[in-house]
Amino acid sequence: MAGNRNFSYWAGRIGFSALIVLIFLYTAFPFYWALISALKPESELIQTPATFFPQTITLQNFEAVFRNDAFLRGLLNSTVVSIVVVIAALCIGSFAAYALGRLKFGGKRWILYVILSMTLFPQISILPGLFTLVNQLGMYGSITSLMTTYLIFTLPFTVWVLTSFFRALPAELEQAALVDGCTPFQTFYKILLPLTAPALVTTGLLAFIAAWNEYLFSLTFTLTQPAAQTVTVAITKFTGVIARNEPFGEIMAASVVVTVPLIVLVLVFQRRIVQGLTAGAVKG
Amino acid sequence: MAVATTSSNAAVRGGSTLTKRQARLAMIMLAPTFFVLILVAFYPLVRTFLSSFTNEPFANPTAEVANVGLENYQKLLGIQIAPFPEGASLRDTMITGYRRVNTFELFGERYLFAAGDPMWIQAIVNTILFTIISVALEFSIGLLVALVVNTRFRGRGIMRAVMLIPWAIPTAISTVLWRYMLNDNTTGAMNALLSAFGLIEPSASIAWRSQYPLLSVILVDVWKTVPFVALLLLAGLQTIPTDLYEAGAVDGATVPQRFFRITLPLLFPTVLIALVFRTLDALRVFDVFAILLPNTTRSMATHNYEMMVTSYQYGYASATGVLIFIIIFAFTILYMSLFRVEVD
Repeated sequence: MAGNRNFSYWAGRIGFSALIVLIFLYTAFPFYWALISALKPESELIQTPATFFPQTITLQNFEAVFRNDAFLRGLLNSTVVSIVVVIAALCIGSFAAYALGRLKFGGKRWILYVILSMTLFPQISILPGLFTLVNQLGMYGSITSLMTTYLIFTLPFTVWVLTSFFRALPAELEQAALVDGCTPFQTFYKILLPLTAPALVTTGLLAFIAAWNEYLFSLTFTLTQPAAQTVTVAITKFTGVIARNEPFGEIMAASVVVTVPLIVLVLVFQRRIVQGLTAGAVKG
Repeated sequence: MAVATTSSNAAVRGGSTLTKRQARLAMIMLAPTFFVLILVAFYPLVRTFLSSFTNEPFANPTAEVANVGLENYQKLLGIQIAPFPEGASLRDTMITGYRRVNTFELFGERYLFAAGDPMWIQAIVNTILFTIISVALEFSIGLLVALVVNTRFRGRGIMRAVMLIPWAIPTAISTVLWRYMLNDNTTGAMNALLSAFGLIEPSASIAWRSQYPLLSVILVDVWKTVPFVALLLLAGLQTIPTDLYEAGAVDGATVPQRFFRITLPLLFPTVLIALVFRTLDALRVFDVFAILLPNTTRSMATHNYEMMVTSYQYGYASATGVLIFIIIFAFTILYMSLFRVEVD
């Protein structure tokens, strides 16, 4: 009887550990594959069967990637666009969120519904109209087109999440500030805004990741202007520096380079990201 | 003098001035958001809607544009199913301007299935299949992963961090990565892995993307999204109080009973909302289809894109966009009323 329980106990433990290892491998393997492929020399990349542990390690592919102008340009564009979009979304969004979370006025309910439905807006369906807008504003083929259009998916989300944070702040703070003679606007930027700093970091981070990962707009609004492409588009159109027929090793090196900043962000801000995601998605 | 008058007026009106001032401040603070949303969402939406009734070409501002009424929609929505016996003439059976999707047998009779735009019909079918299968897989695997990660074990923190990686990698880049992994040459890790585990012959070279296109996109999407769904479900699991399980155990409930009677019902709201979000996301899938399967197998979104950019049919693409918008918006409204989303 005791031996039996022992056996099932250990079988359970082993099965459970195996499951954990399996989940880990399933999640991490493609990234591992990209990393080792980037580190392999050309000769090993064309070897059959493919090796799961590189025999020789070289930084050749990474060096080539950092000599690739189109790729570096893409990295720069992605960085600039993402940072500008995050700042714009947070500035514009925190104003709106304060009004929606703190001030009393008619029609608030409807505005909140509009904002919520905007977070689910299918961007692809208005692609033709957006293309015309970008053209009319004279932004086609320039990264300003992306800084503008990316607000369609970052702004409603920012407003929605920040509104719930503003609403959660205690009312006494505001009353005290009003009694002390602050105008409502002063109350906003002197008292409440600093208190939402953690929320600003979280939403800013999620907006940054969304902008950094965007592909469709970048592809469409820079069709004939490679100089304005972001890195996601640059990678799909990659032509290697030390190219064979297909610069596989270099593309993998480029993928690793683009992914590493995101992985660092995710590891550092892990808890916040999960909180932000659940605030945006689960609470609905 | 003027100042004094104003302040005495304010004193008379009292509280209502404060409310008015709040309302005016709210409008000022909301104005930038309204401006941006009108510019990048409302205006393009109206523009897309209006041009969906025209034959406007793409990127040709000097071209003549004519109103074609509902022609674009007729072509997009037009399908025909007609008896098509052996030896019948395709030309006589099919509506002029239509093209064949396929022929099929039902109760021993042969039928013709034709459509105004077969690729669009195929794209709708692909998108719906993709949505149903990938969302179902993501939730069943995601729930399993969430239950595993919800238990205590060493390295749980690392595990959760690793789970965020597929979500954080840009879809475009993970798709490029998978494009190689699914190849039939030496870059194809998939074949190498399967043969290493003895699941396929080492000599078998499966070109996943051309042989199993839909399976390939589902594979990539499931890989990217399972950890994300698992993290959402994990957040839901952690809101379930542990004393419920203890009480269940005291009352003699077995582990499966506790799962089906306690965990699932309490997790249900989380599952439902996450499910809707994922469905809406899956219905507008673009990146994975566009990068993994160039031009062969289309989703609704890639068809829209190809119609505009490759076929230069701006008006027609607009009509496609309007249809996608209607499909997804109907779903959004349904969701908001179904779950009675409370906004205040």
